[in-house]
Amino acid sequence: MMQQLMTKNRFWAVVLVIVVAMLVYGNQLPTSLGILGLPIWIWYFLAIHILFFIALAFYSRKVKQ
Amino acid sequence: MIYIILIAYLAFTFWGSLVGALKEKPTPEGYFLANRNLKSVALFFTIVATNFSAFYFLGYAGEGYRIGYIYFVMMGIGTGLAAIPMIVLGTRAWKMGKEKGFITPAELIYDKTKSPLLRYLYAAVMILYTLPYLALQIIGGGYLLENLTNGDISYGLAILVLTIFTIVYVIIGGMKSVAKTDFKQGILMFTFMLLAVILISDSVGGLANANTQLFETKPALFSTAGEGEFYTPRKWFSFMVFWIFCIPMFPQLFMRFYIAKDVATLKKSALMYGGFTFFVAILPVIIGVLGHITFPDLIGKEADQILPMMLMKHTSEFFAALIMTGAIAAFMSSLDSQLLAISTMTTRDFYLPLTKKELSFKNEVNLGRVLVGVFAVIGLIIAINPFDTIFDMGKMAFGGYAILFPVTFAVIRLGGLKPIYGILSIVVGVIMLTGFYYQWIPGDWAYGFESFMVVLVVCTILVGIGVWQHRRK
Repeated sequence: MMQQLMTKNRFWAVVLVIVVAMLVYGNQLPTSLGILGLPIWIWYFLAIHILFFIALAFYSRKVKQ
Repeated sequence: MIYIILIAYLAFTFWGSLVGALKEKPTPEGYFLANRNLKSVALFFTIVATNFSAFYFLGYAGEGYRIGYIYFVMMGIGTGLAAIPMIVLGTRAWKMGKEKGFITPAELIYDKTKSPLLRYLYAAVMILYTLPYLALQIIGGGYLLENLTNGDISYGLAILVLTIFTIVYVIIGGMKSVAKTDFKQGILMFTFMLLAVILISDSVGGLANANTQLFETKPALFSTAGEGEFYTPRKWFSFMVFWIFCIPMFPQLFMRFYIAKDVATLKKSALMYGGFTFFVAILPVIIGVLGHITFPDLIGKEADQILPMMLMKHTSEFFAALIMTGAIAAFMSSLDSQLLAISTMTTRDFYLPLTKKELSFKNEVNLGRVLVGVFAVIGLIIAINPFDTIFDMGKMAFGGYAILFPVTFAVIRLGGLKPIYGILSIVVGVIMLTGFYYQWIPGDWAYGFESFMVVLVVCTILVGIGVWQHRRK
């Protein structure tokens, strides 16, 4: 139970950080060009996206539904 | 040439999926839910192909042209976040469905609340918002086919042919054929779109070069607020969270929770969906943004044609026809799932409980088949002469689905709620959504957020009271 709670808390902590980052900074990122001439914030979002789904995969594997 | 591509594409994706369908013994679980036996990759593609309708081809590119690269973040990340409720709600729904034999979403709601009124209301809202959305698929497919054949096939004939084609294969094959079609359609759709981006980028001098050129002339297309400062921080927030509440409530998607082989399969599919949307959503948006190089002065709805215009300009006629046929098939792969979902709900949430009849498996499936035809004809009649309300309801459909989320969450994750609050939440939600849309309720009341956020907050408060009352009892 404790282990499950810890896993859940860890997951929601990651979610919280990501959501706050997206909400606070996502809309105010500077515009400059990165790889392939795409805006640099696209690569920032890609990194967040990948991190998020690693966290989600971890959560869905550990916590019994 | 166009007709050969059209026939070959549709034969490969749709008719090929019917092989063996007629030999199977009809059972409701077999016909409506493909025997609850879909594996992760097939389930993933059927979720993707159902959600990514032809709007993916035309709308994403159009919005990319109008707003810029940020549009893909709203769609790619926003819709990707729907993987969370797919896991949080979907796995529980799968277990409940497997244990108790649920086929429709409203059956699950009824089982936990024992309120027939809440069940009817819940199913009615799903059908109410799906029907105009379904008609819009037929309308969109009709216009595409008419354009693709340069008017040789008129709009009227196009919608007739597409609807009959869809009716026949849904009636024969049910969910199994729909899922097989979605699998092939999903792979073709994204492979071709990736190829289109490569070919078009190459033709305009390379992606990096074209972007650098555009960045100097139209920097707003590269900003996080988008052209015309479209995404204010509050709008940004609204769109980022909206899809979490909306997507799992599409009836055709909710029913896909039931068709997974097991919980692990559903989780894997949800994760694939979430991860995949980011990479998929950017493709048509890139084409839309690059459209400014070739067609710099498109205004308003003209921008929705940017994808076919860019294809015709920068790729061969053969390739352009292939992509646009894929768009028609995308319309159909959304239409088939919607037809199957609302015919299933009408059979099991209205006909069976209201008539209190015990139908044999065969008769239940046959009734579902008849209703597929009935709803397709209704959609066709609407498409022949679409009235303004249909377009309005189509635009409201996503908000309408989201209204059902709080009730669903309470039932699946919180152990239930006092039914009257669920009913109130849905009724108030629909009234408020309509009120905001037609401006009976001032837009200022949303404080800069999208109006559906206010509606969702009110619905959630009502459901919260219902859960509290339920637990107190």
